[in-house]
Amino acid sequence: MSELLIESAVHGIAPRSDQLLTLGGDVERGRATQANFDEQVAIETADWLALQAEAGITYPEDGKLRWQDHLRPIVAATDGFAPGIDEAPVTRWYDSNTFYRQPTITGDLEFNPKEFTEQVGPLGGNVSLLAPDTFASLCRNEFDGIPADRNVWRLYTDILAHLEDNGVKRVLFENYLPGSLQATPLESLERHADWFADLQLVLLTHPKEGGVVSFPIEPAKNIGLTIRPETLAHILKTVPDYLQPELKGVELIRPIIDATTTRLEQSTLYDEELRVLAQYEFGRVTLTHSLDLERLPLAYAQEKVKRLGELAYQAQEKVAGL
Amino acid sequence: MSEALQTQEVGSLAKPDWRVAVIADKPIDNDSYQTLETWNQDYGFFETPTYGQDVLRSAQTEFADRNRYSPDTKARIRDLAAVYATRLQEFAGLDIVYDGEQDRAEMYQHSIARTNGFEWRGRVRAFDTKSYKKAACVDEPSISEPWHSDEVTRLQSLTDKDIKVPITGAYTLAAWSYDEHFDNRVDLVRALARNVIRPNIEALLAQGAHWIQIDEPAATTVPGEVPLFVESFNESVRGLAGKFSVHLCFSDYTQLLPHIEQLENCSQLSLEFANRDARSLGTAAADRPAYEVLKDITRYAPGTSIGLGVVSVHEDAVEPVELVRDRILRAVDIVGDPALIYPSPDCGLRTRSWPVAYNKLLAVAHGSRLAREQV
Repeated sequence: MSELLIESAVHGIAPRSDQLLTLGGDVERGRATQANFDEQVAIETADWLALQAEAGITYPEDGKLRWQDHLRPIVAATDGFAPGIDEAPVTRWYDSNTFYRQPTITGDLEFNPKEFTEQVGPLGGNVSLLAPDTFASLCRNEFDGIPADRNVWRLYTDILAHLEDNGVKRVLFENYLPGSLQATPLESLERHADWFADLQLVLLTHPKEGGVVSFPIEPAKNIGLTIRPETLAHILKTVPDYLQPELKGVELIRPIIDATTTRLEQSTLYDEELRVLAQYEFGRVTLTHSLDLERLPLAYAQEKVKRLGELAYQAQEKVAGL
Repeated sequence: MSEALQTQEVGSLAKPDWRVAVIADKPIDNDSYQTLETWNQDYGFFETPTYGQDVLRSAQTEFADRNRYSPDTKARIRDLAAVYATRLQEFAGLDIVYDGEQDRAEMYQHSIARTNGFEWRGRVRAFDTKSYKKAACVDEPSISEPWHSDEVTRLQSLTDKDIKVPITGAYTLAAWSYDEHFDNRVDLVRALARNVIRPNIEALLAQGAHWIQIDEPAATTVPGEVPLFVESFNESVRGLAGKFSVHLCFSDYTQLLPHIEQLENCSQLSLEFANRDARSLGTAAADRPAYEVLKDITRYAPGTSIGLGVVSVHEDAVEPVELVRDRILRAVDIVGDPALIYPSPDCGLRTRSWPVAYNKLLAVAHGSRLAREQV
């Protein structure tokens, strides 16, 4: 009988309800107050957390309903970015019809925890952030004093310390950089992981076309990995024997819910895939969704969260039978 | 050689408050009368300061009686909005105009609502507080009738200026929809180009429109699918006698470069630049970083004109005319022939108020005049 543990995680920005979408526009036009907006955010955040609890999600998140995009609250709470982030260039968010405001780095990045708290509100135990390297790649850099990725990593050091001080136990880094985990994101994580003794850091990659998670790697013990869903079994089968011990005990992040389609996933992890996972003695497999659920209307995102919980439960049952 | 530096719009303007109120079956604010008078007295749109107020008054009376507006009243209000939107562009000094897309809720929503084979799934946020309704393809796409004909007929009677008709392209409609029918975006894009976009374009050409701008903001968002966008463009216009252009924005244009020469019958690339450009004056390469990609575009697509975004559509601050001038001069320097440059806003101005939009278009026109004196 396998001891493989199957868990589930929801991450990133959740969809706003029609009411909250309308309220946001009304605040901009002076037809509603920021207090009205914040009140509705509080209600919908509670609903989002309740939904995850009911679905049995192991690592729930608050849905970041106050975040205008993945970077804005961090930029607004940090010196060293050009002022006026709310008017910064609108830039397409990867392959989507969504956008973010592109920050410009103009100096050493200095984090202001108090301002950050004002921006994002109370934090839960689990938080997702852009991976530092991804964050840096999305900024315009006009500062010659230090490379952008190092500047952002230094900023993240302060952010992570702040999160740890405020009871956050687990941080999931969303990495959108194409290519494999052989590149800098994982190396950066490993280099910095020891600085945050009580935090569990998890790296979730969003591989682009042709991007496949690659071995060899030497994962730090508290860092999770993501494997592209359709290539999971294939990749693991091709792991050289001498590397197999490296995988023991590692958390594997497995996006099983597609956030770009309204169709509900009908199948759980393939039996073959589960057998392979058990064979390599991963510590646990955390099932999640591919991209932010904000890509779906709220009603569909809610169904996806429920299905995620169901699939995790079914997978655990299957593993027990192996 | 055609006239140099002709100015153009890209598509949408915001809808005036009184049009929004009527769409939503809400009362028209009394301030609306003053708004119209301001456009006429201060800007000279119409000699009669009260032009159009009778339409508003009639609508208000109807709403007071019935607490809603009849379809006829909604149509009259829509037409009045189109009249004023057209005037706004004419008086700002543009050479090529449209009606601010006053008939259209939004570029995606308007098209999908009139395409058979789609069902709405809900609202999704685009950025900040902006959102759009998103649909799923559930059956073979088709159209019952072309949907831009009425607005073009109306506009032809409103203006003597050149008209450029914006129409949302097949690739973008597919990319922004969920697919619950084909399970294959290639087939969805092809079906939209063949069954939906091409028949619309054929109808527009038949009624005398001669320049169609295909809006494809999603064209380069998935690098591996750029050839599919190109195929859909070609399928939409192949063999048709008209002038065709394509508008892209907020994207990585370099993804398009290797495929530009495969675009058939595309006379203009209309692109957003100002959003990503520096704000200080100057015409050197270092002063105008956003426009450097024109070097590659010109190399890959020599002779193709450029719809040159010179004012940002996502901020209220109006660009100084000298900055607009310098952006144009830099582009002329790179492209070589000023007749190939069409100064424009970066994109449709629907997210800006009309006074801001007017002043930005004014800056486009004035900046172009300044640049024309120097080329």
